Amino acid sequence: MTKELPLFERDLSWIEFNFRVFEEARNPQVPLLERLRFLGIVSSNFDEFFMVRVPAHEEQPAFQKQVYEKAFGLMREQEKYFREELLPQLEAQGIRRLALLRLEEAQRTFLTRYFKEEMLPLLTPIALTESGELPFLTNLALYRVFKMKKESSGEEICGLVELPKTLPRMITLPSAGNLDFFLAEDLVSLFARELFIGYEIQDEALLRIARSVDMELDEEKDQDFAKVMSEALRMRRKNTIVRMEASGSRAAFEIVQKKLGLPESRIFCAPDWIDLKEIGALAFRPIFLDLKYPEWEPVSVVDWDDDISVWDTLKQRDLLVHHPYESFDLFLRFLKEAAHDPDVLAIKQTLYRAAQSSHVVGLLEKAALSGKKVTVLIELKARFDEERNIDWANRLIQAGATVLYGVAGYKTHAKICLVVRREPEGLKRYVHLATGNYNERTARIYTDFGFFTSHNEMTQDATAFFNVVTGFSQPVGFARIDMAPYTLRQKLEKLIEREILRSTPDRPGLIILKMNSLADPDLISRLYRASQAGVHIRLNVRGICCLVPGLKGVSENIEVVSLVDRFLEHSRIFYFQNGGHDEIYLSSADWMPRNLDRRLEILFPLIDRKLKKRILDFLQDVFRDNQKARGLNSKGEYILKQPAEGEKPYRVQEALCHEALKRQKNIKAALPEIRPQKPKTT
Amino acid sequence: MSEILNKESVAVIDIGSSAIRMLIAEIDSKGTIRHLENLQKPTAFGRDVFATGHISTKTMRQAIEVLKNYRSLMNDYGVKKYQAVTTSAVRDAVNRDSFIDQAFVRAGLDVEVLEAPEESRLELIAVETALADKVALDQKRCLITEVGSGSTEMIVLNQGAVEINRNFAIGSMRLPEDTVLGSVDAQVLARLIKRAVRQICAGENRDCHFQDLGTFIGLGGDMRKAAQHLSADLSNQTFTTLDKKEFTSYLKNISKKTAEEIAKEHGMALDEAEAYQAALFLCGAFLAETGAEEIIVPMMSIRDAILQEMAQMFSGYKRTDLSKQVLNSARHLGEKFGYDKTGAACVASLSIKLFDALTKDHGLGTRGRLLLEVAALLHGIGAYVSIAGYHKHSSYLIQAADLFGLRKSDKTIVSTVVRYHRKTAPKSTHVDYMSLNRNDRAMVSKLAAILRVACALNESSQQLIKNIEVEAGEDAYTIWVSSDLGDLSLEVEAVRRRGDLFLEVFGAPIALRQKKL
Repeated sequence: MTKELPLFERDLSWIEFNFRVFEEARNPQVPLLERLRFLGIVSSNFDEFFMVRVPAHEEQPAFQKQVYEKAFGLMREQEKYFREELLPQLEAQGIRRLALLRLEEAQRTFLTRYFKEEMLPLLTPIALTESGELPFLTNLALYRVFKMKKESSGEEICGLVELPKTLPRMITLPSAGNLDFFLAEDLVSLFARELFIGYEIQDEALLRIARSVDMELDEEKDQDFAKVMSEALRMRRKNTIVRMEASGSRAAFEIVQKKLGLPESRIFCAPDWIDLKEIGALAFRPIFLDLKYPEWEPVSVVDWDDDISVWDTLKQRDLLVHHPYESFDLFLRFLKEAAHDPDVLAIKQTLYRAAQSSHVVGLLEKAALSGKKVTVLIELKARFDEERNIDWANRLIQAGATVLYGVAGYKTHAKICLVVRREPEGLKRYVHLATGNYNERTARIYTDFGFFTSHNEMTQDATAFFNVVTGFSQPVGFARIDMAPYTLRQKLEKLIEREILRSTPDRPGLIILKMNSLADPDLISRLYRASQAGVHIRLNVRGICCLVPGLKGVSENIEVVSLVDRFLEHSRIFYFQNGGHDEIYLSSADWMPRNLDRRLEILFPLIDRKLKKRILDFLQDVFRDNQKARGLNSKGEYILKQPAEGEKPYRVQEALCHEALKRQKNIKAALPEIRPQKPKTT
Repeated sequence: MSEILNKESVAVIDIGSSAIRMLIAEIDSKGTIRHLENLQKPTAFGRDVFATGHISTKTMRQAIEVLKNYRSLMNDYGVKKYQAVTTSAVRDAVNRDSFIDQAFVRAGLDVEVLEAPEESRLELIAVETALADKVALDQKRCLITEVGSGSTEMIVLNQGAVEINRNFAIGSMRLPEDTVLGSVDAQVLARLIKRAVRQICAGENRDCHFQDLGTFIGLGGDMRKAAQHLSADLSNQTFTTLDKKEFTSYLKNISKKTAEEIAKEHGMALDEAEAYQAALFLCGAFLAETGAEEIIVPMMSIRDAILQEMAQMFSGYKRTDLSKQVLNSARHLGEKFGYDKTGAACVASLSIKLFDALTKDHGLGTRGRLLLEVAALLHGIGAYVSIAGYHKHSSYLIQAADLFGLRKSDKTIVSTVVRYHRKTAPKSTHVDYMSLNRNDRAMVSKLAAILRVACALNESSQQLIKNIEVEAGEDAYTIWVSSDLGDLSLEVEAVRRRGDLFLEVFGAPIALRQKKL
């Protein structure tokens, strides 16, 4: 069935997404440093893409070639745009990359001292002869390479220096008013003669390689996952090189290329700039604020009374928090109260990606130290975050928490935090379920929903979830929550099928889905069938979308929109009209085979009518966006939406920021009266 | 805070043939049950035991790991009271004692082997709790079946009274001879199962006409799964009713599918789907034998029944008392052997009166009382075989029969009490008697002594004596009956003669006297 199914290829669709991000980088309406940030995101995305996705196509050389060409095409445009457009504009604003000749005396002195004292001790210059063995090249590190001639003998050799990862690539120079910087690779060039004494430098280049990181771990063999992971990181050193980025003289890096035996097709040659990731990070520094979007400070949740305990509030009603419009603090407060409350017996939580200095981990640690039963399910296989993850694990174990590394073979992607509390009425459970990670930093830049409830069936299901992930039980007795890889896929299938059954010409069915990626062929084919049955389907898919909309007789009732704006769209929301008894689900899962079949994910319904309405309003607003939304057509092109005749420009992320501020101002006064029915127990 | 004291977290662990399950619940002084945890882990007990009779080391080790996890979760909830039971596979395993020992030593859990009658009793509690006040079982003739992995329980209820109670060594993982799960086509399997069930029912035909049974109740995990599949939202419902036609067409549908297809469709593991198929075929086959037009599926398991009992014990409020069902089952057995119904009822009634009057002297509880009543009802059934030495015939008939709600040791007590209700008193050379523990042996002597006296009171078989008063003097017991009863010299002599064991056990002679009451 899949073969005849019209689908966009998933990796090409992914590259297409990066084109959209790049478009934002090119958008003159977007503040300069935000544009730089988008460029950095594209670079970082491609690093990951080459390491993880590209090796998968090793068996299909023709297709792989297409992927390389398309990706390199975008990277080329990106570099050109940066060099020709963005850089001059940055310079005009006083952010300048200085070349040697433009340096002032004080700057020269500074650089000389910096090189000698900070950088030199970390450098290991390597002379590489034609017959010599190439040293190991670190994944994603920058290398300065030189073509040199031995002054005494005239022998031509290659010099190689790895730029220290611990030092910044952009060295900020002393300067009055401007942000002048010098690049580390230029500094190495400047002092090359001191590194290779007795050699004449003829040509030079900058190199960076990416290795495949397709990890296959035998999880059955070793019980100590942390050790396995450290091992895996070391193992990565030997993986195949999937891409080499180079700028500068070809003569300089030819010998390295030859020794690596790298085909031309895997080499990306840029006239000047490679790796814009770190340059893009400039946008995160608290400088040149006028070149950025005004800083967004998430508002604290407005319909919430600080004087009432979390537990008393949640006993009365469920609570929905929309990040980053609303602050993540409420979750921290939930956890903090749990950590300090003597009546709290247990806290169980999943951690997929936590922030660098995470309050979440700190609070869990505190709770464990105060004698509560703390169980933390840490996902060690979150891509590229492994080193940091192992560090948390050790901290928590030392505090006395039970730390688990997930179910062998499945990544834990669900976001759940469960608190068990002893109350006069008996044991009571509270749960926080979310579409996004427990990460304070990303909660300020990703759009996600967090949901708090004390609903009996939901908390019961959350308990069952933990029994599954801790290996204590099979999935049994789930009433409200569906869990991948067990029932989540079937649930989605049923929901689509039901919508088809309920759909009539008078009252066509309606499905509205918002997610990051849509790539599951089976669910896509069901959506096609639904479209053919007259169901209207509105999809808001930020990234990969393999579904082809608007095909006559196949998908003409399907509309696909992608939203790329300052905050990363991250929430997963599924709406089904269900003949008027509409149902809304939130989920941690995208519609991709890996999420539905190889990850532990959850799908949960919203029951409260007010909350459902809030989500539905939001979903409708998302489709009103005519500034940052792009519609996908049947040819695979994303066309930026424009306000229709007489329509006002509408940008949903901006509108939600305004709304959040307004709600904070207005509703604070009209706060609903929630008083605990019973005195607090302490 | 005082209310907290009235709540308790309790756990029920059920070690079955294909899974080890645990419920943790909070019960309160009103008998309310609130589930906190519901866990299940697969185990290979059934696969091991039904094939080799033995639990393999690997399976045992895995099971102990599961129990250790459960134990730790119980500790998290501060569970002190729990009941851990095991059924068919472990019950039949040669090395079951090692498993039970391991469970105690390594997981700190005291596991009790549930015998088939005990299982039936719990099943009936589950049925009564689930259908409470909503289905009038006392007005129906119904068949209750529970298809387990290794055995199938069958209870026939007539107007609410247990008539037949059987346990067959056939289950969703233990199929009719020569059939191995996954090795035959589903339709063939369905046919084989149908044939096996037909044979079972034909064997019972003497006692019961299955076609007269108008109500069918299907218990068991697989039936619950089927009900969930076939019914709309079942949350908050304690039972559901499936239409026979709908169910049989569903059976037909799944018999056309491979286990792989069912597994995929229902989100089950492959072996789970295989067992599901077999279990439903079994249920369907039993259903076809009855005249029922619908299936009642209680959404409760024996774990719920155990929990129910624990809650009742905690609250002191007993809603489900099944001792009357035990007696019904005994009466039905009596009828099978053409017993003297009125005589037996009279002796039983007199036995109970004596028992109650002597409470201080024998110190026995409700269990002893029930066993005495059963023994009194059945003491004469051996006459069916031969009048000579009938007490011995009664004894082995009881030992061999299925009696609802009585475990093996209970049945041994009843059978030995009957054995000693006349002639020889218990001796240390009697194997059955000596197989009992010391307390149970003492119980046998006391009950047999009482039964002897009760029988003596009906020596004439005329049921002359119905009401008695017992007087415990310093050095003798006197049974007073009304002087209106006329000449009772036969009974007086019988009590004197058959009071021998009474004298030995209670340390004083007993005599029958008449007075104006």
